[in-house]
Amino acid sequence: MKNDNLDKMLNLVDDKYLDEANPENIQVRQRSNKSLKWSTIALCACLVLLVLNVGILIPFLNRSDDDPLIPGPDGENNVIIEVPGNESLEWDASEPETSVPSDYDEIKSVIDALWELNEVKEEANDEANKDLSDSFEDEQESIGKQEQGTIEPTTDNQVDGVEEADIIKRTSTHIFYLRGKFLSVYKIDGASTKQVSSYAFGGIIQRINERIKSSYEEEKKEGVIDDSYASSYNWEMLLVDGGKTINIITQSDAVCPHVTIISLNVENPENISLKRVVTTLGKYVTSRVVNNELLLFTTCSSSGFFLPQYNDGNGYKYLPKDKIFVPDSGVYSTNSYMVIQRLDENTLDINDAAAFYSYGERGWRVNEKIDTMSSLNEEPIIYVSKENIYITRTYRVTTNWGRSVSKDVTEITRINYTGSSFSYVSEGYIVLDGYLKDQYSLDERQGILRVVTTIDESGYDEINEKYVTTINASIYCVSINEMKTVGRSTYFAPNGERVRSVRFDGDYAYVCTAVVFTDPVFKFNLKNPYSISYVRTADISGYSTSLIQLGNGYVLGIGYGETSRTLKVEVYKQDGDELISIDSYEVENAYFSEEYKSYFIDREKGLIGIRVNFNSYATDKQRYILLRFNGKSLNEHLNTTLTGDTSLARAVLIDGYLLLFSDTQFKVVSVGFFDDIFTN
Amino acid sequence: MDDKDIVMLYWQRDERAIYETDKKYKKYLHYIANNVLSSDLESEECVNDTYSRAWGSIPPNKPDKLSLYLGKIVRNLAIDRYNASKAQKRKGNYDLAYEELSELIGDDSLSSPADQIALRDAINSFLGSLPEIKRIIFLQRYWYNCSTRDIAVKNGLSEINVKVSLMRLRKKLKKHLEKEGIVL
Repeated sequence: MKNDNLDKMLNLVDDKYLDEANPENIQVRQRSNKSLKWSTIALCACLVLLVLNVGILIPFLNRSDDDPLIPGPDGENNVIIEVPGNESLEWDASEPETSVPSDYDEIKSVIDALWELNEVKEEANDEANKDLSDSFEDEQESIGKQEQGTIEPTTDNQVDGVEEADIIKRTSTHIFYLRGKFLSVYKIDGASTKQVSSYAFGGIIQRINERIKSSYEEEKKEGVIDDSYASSYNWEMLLVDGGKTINIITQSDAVCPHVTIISLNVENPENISLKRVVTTLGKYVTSRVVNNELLLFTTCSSSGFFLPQYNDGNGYKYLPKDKIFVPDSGVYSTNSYMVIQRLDENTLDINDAAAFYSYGERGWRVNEKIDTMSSLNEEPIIYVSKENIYITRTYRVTTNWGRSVSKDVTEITRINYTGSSFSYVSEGYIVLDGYLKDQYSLDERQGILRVVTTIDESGYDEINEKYVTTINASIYCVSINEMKTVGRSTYFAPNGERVRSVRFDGDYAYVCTAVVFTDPVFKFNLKNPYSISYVRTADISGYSTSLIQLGNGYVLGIGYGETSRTLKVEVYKQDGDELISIDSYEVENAYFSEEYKSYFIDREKGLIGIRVNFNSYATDKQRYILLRFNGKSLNEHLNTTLTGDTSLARAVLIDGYLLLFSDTQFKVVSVGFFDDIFTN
Repeated sequence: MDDKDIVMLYWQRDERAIYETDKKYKKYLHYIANNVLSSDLESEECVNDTYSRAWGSIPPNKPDKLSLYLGKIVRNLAIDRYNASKAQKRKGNYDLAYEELSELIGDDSLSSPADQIALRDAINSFLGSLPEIKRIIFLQRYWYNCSTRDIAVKNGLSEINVKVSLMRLRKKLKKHLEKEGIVL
């Protein structure tokens, strides 16, 4: 127990102090000359005092424990920033325990107490955080009047009807591409497609950062949000309101992490105007648009206990007590919240909000039930179906049934959002062995949540006296009403293999596992979730980082070949009791992005587009490759230059022209017309 | 090669990532593991497990500070392994360092989240109040589990200075925790 307590304490030490004390960073220090100098002077003084018969112990009687043994810099006072109103609670550890003490109850009582404390302050919301829209002037390069068309799909959404944000969106007449702090607008016109306007929003971001900064300085707050992992350019957008509005979601870590949504009127795409700007505290995780509502997921964390907030356009407000949920799994791994807001897609007015304690980003060991925090899933993985939101977190626990086993587990909580407000039931969670690869590891169908995890366990085998690590994969079918497992296939992969990609397609699931550069691909039949069966490929070189269902039972894998420098695209199909490779395409010395949204996928025409760098940053080595699967073979159809970041490349196919976008280039290529592959 | 480039190799699934990590951090990781395990062979295995963990977790992670990221993994792996086979071990730095702190420690479990939150604030405010050199000495002893001799050499101090410093720091921490109402 003693060591446990110590371990707990030491695992709570800030990274900045660990970094400072890292033995690797410290050059062997020489005793400072200053120290020697003062030692010499002190020695001489002592001798003089001795000679003068004065007690030399006197100066030491008042010596403080703080006195440095050698002169050194004073400890720096860390400048910490507090989110307005984000008070920390002084917890009195000597307080008598409640009659029925439990972690859950204690946390709830702290939330209640904090809320009561802060409730009255709501009236005094600071002006700085009110709706900022009126204070900005449009920064628009206007060319002329042009009517907007209707929304056309560009993003390959995981769930039909649940729109995901991306850096490209389009209507029937225009394409919008987010290039850094500019929204570029292209008018679709075949080979003559060109940029017709742009909207710069960097000034808005800057003004908000300055405003938040000055608000903090004025209030001289101390405290709370850790911004070490905030990203400055994780920006994307959603096209809503029948193509009349674009909501750009930006993340900034200036002063403290905050998310700003810039709503633009794009009814006339060549004369864009600002509709509204809304800022909320925290880090952006993801967003969706469903049924005219924008679901915004953010996380916030703090070194002290705090209440989550949201900005309703009239300043920050605390979430009502009944909207702050504490998971009753009994595991509180981080002092953080996942905040989910439902906004009107057109006005950005808040319809509902909820926060989930300890569902934020990876953090600290807070609860004894957690052995070590998993180093995985730095950002929470979220899956949104048409009716439910699934939020997840991964942590590592130790069990001791005969032998001590330490393993990763993933807790998944279901939140229903079909009503006018979030509906969460306390028992609406499940804890499964393993960790998730990404959002594609989850899928809901006909009342069953299907989940694929990588198992990561380690323990000491006392019989054979050796330390054993197990890496493998499992698939689970979970009844969403009870959140109970109804079917599973565990440890199905060869030992040592992790899940590299997952894709669900109706009653089937495709899973690729690998150690390094050799994989099988599995096809699971989940028609009967109580009885799962599968077929698999033989071991083949490489592994897929993305699996994509093509239709007609074909599945496409994009990933690595024999080495990390080989791009391999492969098509699989079930043949009897086996999953077989139909054809593959490989190129050597190729670097590509694993960002799924950077791939162009046209299932009807069997087209796959990928931005590739050929072992060099020379312009002619930066290529865009278009492949076509014709039902039998996979062939290269286009290989053209396209510069820029591989993860930011996007493509749109319109009337025989492939429109290529990147952060540095726009290009139109005639590729001709293609038949649908599965019509004949 | 700097950390960013190594992390990029992990993201590109380039096996050179392991080679470069090993080249740059093997000694450091071995040092942390060995301070807990006091066994070269087991520390070596722990370091290899750390590479495997890093390969499996980058991506999705993109650590800003690779040394700390790997350091935390190897420390936790080493402690896991140490606890799993504790009976067979002779006393190493890990035990000795903890014995020194034992005067602060009670047998009660720190189970409530409120305790944990208070503890986290307390330890970090304690560290924040120290002069840099004291903070370094404290963490090198109790987080990195370095020997007092090593700490002395690395910081240009005599070993007796380090020991005296640590003794004072323990007293100071005890006072600080008591003041914060925390009984470990």
